[in-house]
Amino acid sequence: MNSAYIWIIFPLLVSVIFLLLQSRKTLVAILATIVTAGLALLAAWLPVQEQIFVWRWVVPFSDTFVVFGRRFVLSAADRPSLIVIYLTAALWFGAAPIARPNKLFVPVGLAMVALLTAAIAVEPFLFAAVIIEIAVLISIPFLSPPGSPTGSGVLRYLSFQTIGMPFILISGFMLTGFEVGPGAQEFVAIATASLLIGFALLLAVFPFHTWIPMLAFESHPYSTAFVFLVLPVAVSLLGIGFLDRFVWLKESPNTSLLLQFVGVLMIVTAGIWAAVERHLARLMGFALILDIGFSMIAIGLASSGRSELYRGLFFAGLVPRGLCLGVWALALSGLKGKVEGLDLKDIKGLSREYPIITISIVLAIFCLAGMPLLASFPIRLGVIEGLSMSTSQVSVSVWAVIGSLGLLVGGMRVLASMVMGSDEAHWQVNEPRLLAIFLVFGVIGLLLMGLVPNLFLQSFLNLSVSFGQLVP
Amino acid sequence: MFLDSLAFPAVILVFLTGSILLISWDWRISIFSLSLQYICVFVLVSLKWPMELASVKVIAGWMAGAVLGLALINIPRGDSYQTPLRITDIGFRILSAILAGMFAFTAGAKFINWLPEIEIQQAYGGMILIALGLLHLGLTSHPFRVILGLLTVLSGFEILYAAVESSILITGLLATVTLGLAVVGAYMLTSPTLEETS
Repeated sequence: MNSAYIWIIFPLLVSVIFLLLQSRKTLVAILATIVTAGLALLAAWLPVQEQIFVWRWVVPFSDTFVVFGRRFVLSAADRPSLIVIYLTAALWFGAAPIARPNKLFVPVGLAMVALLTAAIAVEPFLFAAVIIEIAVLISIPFLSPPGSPTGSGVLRYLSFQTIGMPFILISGFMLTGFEVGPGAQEFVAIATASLLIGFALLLAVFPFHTWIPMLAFESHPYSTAFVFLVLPVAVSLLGIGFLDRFVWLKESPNTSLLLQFVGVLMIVTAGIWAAVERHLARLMGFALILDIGFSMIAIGLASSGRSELYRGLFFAGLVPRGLCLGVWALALSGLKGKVEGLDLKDIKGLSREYPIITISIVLAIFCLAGMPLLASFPIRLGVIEGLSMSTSQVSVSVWAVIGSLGLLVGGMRVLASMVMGSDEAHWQVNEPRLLAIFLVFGVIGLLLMGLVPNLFLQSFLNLSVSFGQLVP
Repeated sequence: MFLDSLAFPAVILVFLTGSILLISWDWRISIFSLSLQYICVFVLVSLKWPMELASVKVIAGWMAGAVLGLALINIPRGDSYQTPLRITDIGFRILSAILAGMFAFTAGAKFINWLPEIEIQQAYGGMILIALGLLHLGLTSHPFRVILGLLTVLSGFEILYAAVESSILITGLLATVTLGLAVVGAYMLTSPTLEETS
């Protein structure tokens, strides 16, 4: 027995079985929820030892799986992060019957989760770039469902992710070569530039950000949000792996400055576009870019000093991001088929018919904008405070706040559109009961994390300890 | 070794096949060029790798071509890819390909200074494919052409990476990516004709 069999190969095999059962969407979603929740429980329960006892039998157990001389390691220290990964997947698959995404979503989504687990387990960590690319490839069928032509957003997503991978692999080799025998500065500059281009393509850094809003516009919001949640996390972990592996790169003051600059650039550009965006799904894309920008700043601050605190803030920021994206995407899925489109003109006065959906969307936007009393606020505050302390020019952090204000303006426009309408229209709750329950729980989560941050923040910061083990 | 003497002809052939992919509007010619391109990739990769390992590249590439070809046979006629390009368009593409080739020759020579493990023929061949593939991607939004562009970029990268990394796992993973791209391309081409499922 082997940990990779349980958390990588088994879910991959199950996803193949689910593909065969794909016509039974609800059954597959329920089974996937049970399987992923079971895997999370197993990560919590399975004893960490070289032998495990199954009834009368003694089964040898290893945390390392060797394939062609390379290793996939999921050690005891990785268990908390496995719990988080598979619990998140369970929640997403659990709500899938309500969101009604394409029937390939659950089987392929499960395979994606297994592949991303493999990406964080593989040694050397550089190979994770190829595994992430395979995860991208298998995500295409649920982003561009059968029966419809492939949109330009999907093509751009595929192109950028595929072109990004070679840049990362080749720069990884060049940086290793430099570590062995330090040489010309030109060589280092080329390797670093290659690394930057690779990550810019994968993480949608301006000007390679266009695929995110395009994909959000074309595909089902729930499927898109799932990709938006899992992919940047896997790529960010790969990036942190690079910084940890090449200490000279991490300790270079330019690295920290560059990451902070890129983060602020992402926040400002996303904020400006969000302020003028009229489509709710595209707005979700810009909100994600903004959030990735804050993550980049946190990683940059972690490279410059007080590493534990800012790394903790980076990992802690993933929880509100996941919750906001989940609530937002579920609410948008609830509107599918009930409105002509997701443009502001299509949702005028909708709050009177769908008040819970309205509140959910608006609070998710405000939360990702970092509004006080909502889940993201304590984390944003920490990042902006760190940014203002680390740079000599206060204007840098002011720009980050301006970017957030842009998303806030976008949220206000959504709110204004949704509540406008004739006074004669009566308020009524038309949301399906299950959707309403999920959304209410999500909104309560967003509020609770913002209202009593101390209750949650410490456990979020502890995430950095568990996820930190995943960084190779 | 016999294959070493074929390295420079392979570089020239790589440029020709990449350029044909850029201007061809008949999918049969495109698939044929792609399969020729993968033979060149095999020749260039085998400068550093044992032949049996290098053959993975050509097998994966041919399988990718077969998958795309089968998908194209099964889609209805009248697809926009079949529309012949105008003569001005062809002229522009040929000129762009020549410029990309010249850039690749300059960059290839520079590249071996940074990574001396790479042979000059590999550097030229890899950079030509990357430059032509990126050019192809910049000129199209048709799924078949996008996949051809991505396969071209990827095969160029594989030539360069083969010189520095010979792990069997990464070879297998990259072959999976090549085949995966072809399967995704086939899916994109046929998905409008498939039954709606959501």
